[in-house]
Amino acid sequence: MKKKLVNNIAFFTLLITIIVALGHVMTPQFMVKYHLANTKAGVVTLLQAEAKDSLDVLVVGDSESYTSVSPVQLWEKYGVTSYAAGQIAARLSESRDILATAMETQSPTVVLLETNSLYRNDKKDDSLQGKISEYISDHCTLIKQHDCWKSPIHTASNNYKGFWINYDVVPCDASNYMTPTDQEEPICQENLDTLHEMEEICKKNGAELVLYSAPSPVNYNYAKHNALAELAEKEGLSYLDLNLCSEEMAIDWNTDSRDGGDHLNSAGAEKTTDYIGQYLMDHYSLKDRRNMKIAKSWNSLVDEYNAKSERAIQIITGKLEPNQKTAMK
Amino acid sequence: MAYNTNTYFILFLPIAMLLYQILPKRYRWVGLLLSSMAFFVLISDVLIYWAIITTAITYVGGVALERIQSPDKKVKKRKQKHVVQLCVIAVVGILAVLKYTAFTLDLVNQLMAKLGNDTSFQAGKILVPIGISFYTLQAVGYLLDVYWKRLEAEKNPAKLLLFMIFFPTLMEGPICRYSDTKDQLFEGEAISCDSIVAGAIRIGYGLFKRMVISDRLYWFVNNFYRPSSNYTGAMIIICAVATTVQLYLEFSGTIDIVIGSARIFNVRLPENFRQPFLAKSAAEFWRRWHISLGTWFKNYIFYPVTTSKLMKRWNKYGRKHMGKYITMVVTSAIALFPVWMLNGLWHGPKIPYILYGVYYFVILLAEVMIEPAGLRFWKLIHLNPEGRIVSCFRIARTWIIIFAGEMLFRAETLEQFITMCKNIFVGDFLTHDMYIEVFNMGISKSDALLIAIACLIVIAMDLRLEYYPDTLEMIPQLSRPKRWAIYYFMIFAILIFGAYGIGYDPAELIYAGF
Repeated sequence: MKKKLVNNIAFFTLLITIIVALGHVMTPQFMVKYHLANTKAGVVTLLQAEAKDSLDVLVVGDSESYTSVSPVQLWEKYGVTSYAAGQIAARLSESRDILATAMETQSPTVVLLETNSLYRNDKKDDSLQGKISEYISDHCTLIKQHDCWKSPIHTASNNYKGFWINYDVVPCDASNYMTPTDQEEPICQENLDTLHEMEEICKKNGAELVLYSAPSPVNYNYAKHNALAELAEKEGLSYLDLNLCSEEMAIDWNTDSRDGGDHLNSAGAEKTTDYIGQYLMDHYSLKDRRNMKIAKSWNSLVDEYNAKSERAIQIITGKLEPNQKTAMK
Repeated sequence: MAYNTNTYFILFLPIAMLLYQILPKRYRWVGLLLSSMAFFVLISDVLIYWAIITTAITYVGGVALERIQSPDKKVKKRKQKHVVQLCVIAVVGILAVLKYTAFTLDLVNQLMAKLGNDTSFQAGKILVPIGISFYTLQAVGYLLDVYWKRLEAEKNPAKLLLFMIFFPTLMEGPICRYSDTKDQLFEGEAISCDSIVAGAIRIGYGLFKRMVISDRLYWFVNNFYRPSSNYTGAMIIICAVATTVQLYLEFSGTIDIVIGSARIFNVRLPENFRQPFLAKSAAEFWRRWHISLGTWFKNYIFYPVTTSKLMKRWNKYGRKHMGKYITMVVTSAIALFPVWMLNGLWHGPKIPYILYGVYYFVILLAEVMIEPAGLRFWKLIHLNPEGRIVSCFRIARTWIIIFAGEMLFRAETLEQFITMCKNIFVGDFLTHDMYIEVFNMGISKSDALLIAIACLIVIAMDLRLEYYPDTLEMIPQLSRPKRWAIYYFMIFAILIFGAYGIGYDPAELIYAGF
């Protein structure tokens, strides 16, 4: 009996030691260094690893956000430092949490909120089950970051400040998706409340919250545009609907979507980033940081990013043979 | 609160264990009853009164069956028959009214519309307690066992209530027989280190199957069955395989958790799965898949039909006038038809479920019909029907039957299932777009790789369990390094590779809806 007890104590002591030790090893710096943070939970880790007060623009939202804004491209063209802190299938409350976390170390001038998550009605789990999960996750790094094993397999090297280089092409028919109508697609009250909280966070930290809708025939229509435009007006926020500027940006839905009109690929993102960059420069007084100290670390990304990006565009436009694609992966 | 939630493992189970352990041996079953009632209330709120009503009917019926006395044996038998009929109709009636009213009225409305009379019968909102299908079958089994004198009626209604709503079996079964579980339920054997370890190993394996594979596949599979989905070619094959794998690991994983939970309290529940993908025929598949349901139908529907006086008379007549083969086929058809219609209906008020029953009725009958010809065929081409080559062929053939069946089972409507079957032959079978599409449906390449590796582990385990069924029970007997290595592997595999936390929505217990 005594022997069994000692055995059990030894077993659980070793178990807890391993869990705690792994938690201590998995610091944001460690996760970034070994490309272990390219997961949904890892977005926060990567953001936390950014130098203090180094970001002018923060992009939040679901997958529509980090597939439509490329921070390295914004840097190269405008000298603006930004971070695409969107998460896959993010609820608005998750974007709010990321925004709050980011504000602990950053003071961005502009916060761009991609609006698709305003139409996600999945509610936060406020049950006892949800609270226990949250508590365990907050107090055990291994559990919080348990998905990190995916990162090395997840083409980690294609992640540039939250933006993922992608060269998949699945065309879509986008001929009539933004046909004008007077109808409005309502946004649920819970998301409106969360938006108010995000506005408060931005106000408190001196940042301008801007709503924008990435081009996506699968997710947007004119009824949503009407509702979002009215919401922005009511809240006194700027709203940029890129779905209405597809022609102006020369989006080609035969080549610029990775998955039949849900998300953009690198070719599409290049066009939207250009447009958003110009919009930001026209409307907000953002500093050109290319001559500042921070430029060194950002410039170090540019050549590699451009080479990969150019390669992706060549694959998208069919200028590279299929067997050459593997070289990029 | 489901079996795969942290509230179950961190709060409910430890409290239930503590309550059980602190009570004196003879009252420990009361602890289990209180825990089971609390569990029921936590998942179905006040609807527990339906379980209490069903138990009351079953209890009164059982006691009445034993108390009926008459000097005339025939009168006694007739009275007992009336009692058992009345009680079975009452408990099944509760299930039928709660679960099938809306469905029946909808069918009536559709039928009337086709006949040119528009009716709009509405059932209103009926709340159904979780697990009603499981405990109703247990109640019917209990009544029939008492009626057939295979069992003495329980004199304590509270003990019968515990049997009906024992918390590990409440949501997904297995469907137990009173005679098999009563002694263990009421014995009050103390929880020991050994029982905790044996239970935890089983729970760990169940969580591995559920959290690493099934929950990871959940949203991927769901995407195929959205009304707007229009997949073609190889995507439908992927859908059929993924649906089956997800359902098997969800259900069998939950049953592992259920059996493990009960094992902690020294209650050994019957197995519900026995390596179903090694079955060589659809009939064998159903002896390995959801065994407790198949056994229930065999004991309480199939055997009573085949051994009825009418069937005996038919057998005698058939063999004399129509030959052995025709008699066997007709007998099988008559006995299998109610089994499979009820099996389909039991799963729920949905046309695909009923057709799922019809599907297996047709397949099983076809197997009965072609078996003699099949044996002749294998002999003709000089192959041993029990040999490796024929066995592999038969297993592969059974897989096709299973995959198609599970796709029908999971389809929202019959139209969706038919469209999916047709779509296999639409367009190119395999395209590069499909490759992109697959990884845009809720799983990434890393998920797919993990699922493949984890499936290989489950396959290896299933193959071992086929020859050494007590493999999991034997783990505590291994040397300490081996034992600890297995425990740590299981714990860290679930912690690191489990589909939970940020980015995962909890997957439903599919069978809990039945």
